[in-house]
Amino acid sequence: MNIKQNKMLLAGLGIIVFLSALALLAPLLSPFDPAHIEQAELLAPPSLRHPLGTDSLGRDLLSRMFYGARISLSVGLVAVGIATLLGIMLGSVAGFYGGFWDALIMRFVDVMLCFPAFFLILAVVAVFEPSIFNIMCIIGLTSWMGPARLVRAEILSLKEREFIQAAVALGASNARIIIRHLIPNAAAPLLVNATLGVSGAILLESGLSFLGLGVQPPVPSWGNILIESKSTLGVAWWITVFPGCAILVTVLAFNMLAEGLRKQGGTK
Amino acid sequence: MALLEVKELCLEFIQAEKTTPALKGVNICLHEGETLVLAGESGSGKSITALSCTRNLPHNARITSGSISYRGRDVLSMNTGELRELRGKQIAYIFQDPTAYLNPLFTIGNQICEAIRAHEDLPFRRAMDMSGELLERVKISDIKRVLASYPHQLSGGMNQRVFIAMGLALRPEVLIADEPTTSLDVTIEAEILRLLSELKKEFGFSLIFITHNLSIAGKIADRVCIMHEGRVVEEGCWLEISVHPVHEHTKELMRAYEEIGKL
Repeated sequence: MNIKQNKMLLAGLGIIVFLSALALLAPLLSPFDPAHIEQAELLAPPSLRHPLGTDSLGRDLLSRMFYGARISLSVGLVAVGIATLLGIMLGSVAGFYGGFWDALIMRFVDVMLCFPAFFLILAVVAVFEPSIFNIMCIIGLTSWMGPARLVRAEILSLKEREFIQAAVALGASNARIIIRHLIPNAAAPLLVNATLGVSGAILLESGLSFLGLGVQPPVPSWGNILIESKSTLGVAWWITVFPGCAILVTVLAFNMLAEGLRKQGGTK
Repeated sequence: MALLEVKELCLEFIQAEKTTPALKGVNICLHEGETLVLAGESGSGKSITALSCTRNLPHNARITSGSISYRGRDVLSMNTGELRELRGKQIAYIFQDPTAYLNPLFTIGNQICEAIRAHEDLPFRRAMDMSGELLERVKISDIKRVLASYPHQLSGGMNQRVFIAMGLALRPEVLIADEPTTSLDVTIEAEILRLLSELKKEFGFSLIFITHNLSIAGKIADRVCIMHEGRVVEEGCWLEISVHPVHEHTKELMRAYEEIGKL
């Protein structure tokens, strides 16, 4: 498929690039410091001075949204990076060596999948402090099972292919075969999976922040802006609607990108 | 002394508790500088015998008895590291369908570099130069373009040349060609055969050539082994076998070969 005809991919990618630019340029774009409190402007509705209004402490919502984008996007990307890396390592060992290692790793995957991930994360966050770094790690460490299963399945079928036999016949080492020959050939479905994973991780982070166990105020994330809006929902709709929409659009964009990539790569 | 010797090799396939014998005591001996042709019908055990030489076997295959020795060293008792040294460096393979045996994600240049760098710790540029030289040796013109192409962009004959270059990259002593021309059309077949015998003189390797096509056997073989149902049923030089086939199966193969000649 010609990449120019792949509207899904282009639209998803476009939105993501746009959002990333906003996040990166947050200090330049924000009209106010995100922690700056203007006591005269508590719960001000959207106006020219505050395009998205202010929150219950009089902080500019637009600025907080720009800075929140940094947190949400980076948590999504890093968490998925950790999950995918772990998944590749464990999945490829299980798929390539089979037997004992396969059984051990896949049963461990089953055990991890048995835990309701969200409550596991809640428990872990309750023990360790909920810093951004910890949140990234915890989301990553609880979502590697999907990629691991995917990599294992891909490698199980790839390792029977002729070109792998040829690599063995040429005397390539096991590590070389896994890293140079098997994993790159499993990259297409992994990429689709990772892209979908990003939106999942962003939602998870928002959910955690909403429960007060995610990114801690005053650092703004879309999730914790949402929770602060809860008590003033009746009088200030904008504090709920804008971060909610931001999460919606981001998740949608990543899902569109994943769908576009799937079509592009011909992966089912 | 024989370079590669397979003695009384028995091998079976295991499938869900059931074992199917595939080799029932194969004896093969390859001398230095020789071209040995393994001929026989499908399922007679030619390919699996060849793969046994470096123990590059499917997961469900098991060698039950017999011995394989390379330059007097027992292949069956080698550890993984020793086997790796054997594969590619001492004994290299060429397979039937070159396009399937090349990694679809690698350009030809990377592909040959991989083969070199699997054994030698060379910088990438150096390996790439060597790849170019090797392509020249297998008579590929337009080397720059081929180095940058992917396997699916080249023809089967071209890919087979690339594969031969890859096999010869580390100057192995034995080249095992498993029906290297079966998937190619007849004009290319002749070219590849000619190339192989030229390269054999140039590089000085010994060749095991597997085929079911007796007309090829006649053209290149120093010695022919006829295989049937997991055994070598007849062995000798081509003239002997073609004029006085002894075993019933050899006679059958010869009749089939002659009948095609009559058409």
